[in-house]
Amino acid sequence: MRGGEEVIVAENVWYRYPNGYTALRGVNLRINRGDAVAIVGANGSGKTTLIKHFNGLLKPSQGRVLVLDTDTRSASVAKLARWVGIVFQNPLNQFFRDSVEAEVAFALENFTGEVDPEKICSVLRELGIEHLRRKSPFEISLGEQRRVALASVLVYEPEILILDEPTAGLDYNSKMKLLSILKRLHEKGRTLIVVSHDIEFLARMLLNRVVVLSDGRVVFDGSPKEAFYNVLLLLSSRLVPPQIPELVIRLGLEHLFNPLSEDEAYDFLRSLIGGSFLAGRES
Amino acid sequence: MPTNRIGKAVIVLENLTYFYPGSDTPALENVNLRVCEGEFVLVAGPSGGGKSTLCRVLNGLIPHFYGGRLRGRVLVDGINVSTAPVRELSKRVGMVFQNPVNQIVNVTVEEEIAFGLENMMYPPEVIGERIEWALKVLGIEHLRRRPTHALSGGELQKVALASVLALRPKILVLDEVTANMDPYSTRELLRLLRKLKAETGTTIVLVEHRLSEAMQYADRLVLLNRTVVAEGRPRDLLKEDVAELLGVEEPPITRLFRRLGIDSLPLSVEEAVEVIKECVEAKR
Repeated sequence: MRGGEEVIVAENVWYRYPNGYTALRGVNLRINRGDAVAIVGANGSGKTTLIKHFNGLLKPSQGRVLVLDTDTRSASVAKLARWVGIVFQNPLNQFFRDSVEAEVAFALENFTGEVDPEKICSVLRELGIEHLRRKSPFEISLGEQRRVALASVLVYEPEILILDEPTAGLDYNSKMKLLSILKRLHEKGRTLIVVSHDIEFLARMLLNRVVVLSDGRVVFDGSPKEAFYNVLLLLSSRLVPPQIPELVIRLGLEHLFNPLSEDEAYDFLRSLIGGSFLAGRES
Repeated sequence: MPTNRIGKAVIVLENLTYFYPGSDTPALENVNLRVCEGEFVLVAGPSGGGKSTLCRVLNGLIPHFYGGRLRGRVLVDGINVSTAPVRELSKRVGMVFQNPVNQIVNVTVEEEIAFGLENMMYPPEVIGERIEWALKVLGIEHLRRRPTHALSGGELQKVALASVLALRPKILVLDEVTANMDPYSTRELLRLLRKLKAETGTTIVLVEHRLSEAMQYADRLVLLNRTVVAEGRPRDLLKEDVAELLGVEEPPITRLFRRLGIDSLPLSVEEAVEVIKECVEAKR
């Protein structure tokens, strides 16, 4: 066992909501430092419930969760939030300041003790919301609110970053920016956990693991290629393959190559159809 | 622009310009758009491009709730939005928003779906049938007695959709409703919309950022960036290569085919398979 490397350990985690509904049914999961993990699964499969255990917002009804070797039952949410930054689906639940800038500044100062307007500016700029800095987080669009919520976590660079449906309401350009921000954080050795239904976004992310949840259990934990080329697994978990894997599977070529994005598919398909077709076009 | 305009126009926007209260820049500027009865229109565009504003105009929230300045003419099913009471519009237009939390008001899923039907004074047996139907088509029969506050984001979205679909509105306006739905549910919803359109002539306005899944179902694609920048059959618009410039996500297969230099851009993976097979045949 590589104890020191594991940043989050969930051991046989069960969770029952006060109304009696059991959302998690024995989850076992180990996240290593520097992992880039996608958690996918149907609506109601327990994804959001699970990540709420990673900063102690929820404590397991049975089993235990360790974050950096600390049992979440014995640590405050405030302490855990320094290590684990979560951006939730509904950004309005986390705002309480009267301007975008103040919101982000609060997160930075609260978690690091730093007052650094330059850093705040650069995060806002990176997310394309610099022009909103004096606006109230309550008067901007949902897509913009999501970016503000993201900014207030990115700004203090927690060791572990968890994003719940980060691309919902983001347009293409913002998504591409988010992709490059996540790539940079990954290269800096941060641990990333992304919960998302945006399968095409996940296909472009540099993930090393995909975890599939179904009915409150982990039913798959493996590489993105294994996950996105496993049609049976996907359909039985109410998922669909990204378009490029689906194309390759329908062409019956999955035993030859397993691209996830169009960039990876290009060379092979070019040589497959290339020759005569392109020659005909060019002449 | 050639589109399959079958019936009469049920949505007519003429030189529509709108300013939110206290704003000097219009959220919509000189928008002209006609949507025909039974048409499935997909609206895409960058964040801040006015998509949600357009939806709010179609059900009268603008100007009746939001205020602001509205110029030009908006007719929805023959009714002038600026002067008609919201109640008249809500009988005709079923609207589901991006954030379902904002529109769920009842304790259990079943009560939530019954709420609108009761308001419209349907007899109990019709209410019962409609609830059954809505739960079934959205695949949420198992949620029937669950409290709405304990549902996941995607489940809430389906409940919001169910309560609007149960009213069988003539016009459906859906503002990025698939953002929190799992991919399989998204596909099922799109198939359901196509079926409603075919069987009952429902007019559908669907706002989406992601075109990969939705494109093959739409009769027309409208690209909105404060004004209508381009519109036409999805296939024709893809060829013009305008979508990505506007911050609209093109399907990966479209990007792949463009790079490969294949002229016929596919709307679905099935189509892409056919085209590649033809190319391989031609090579032999």
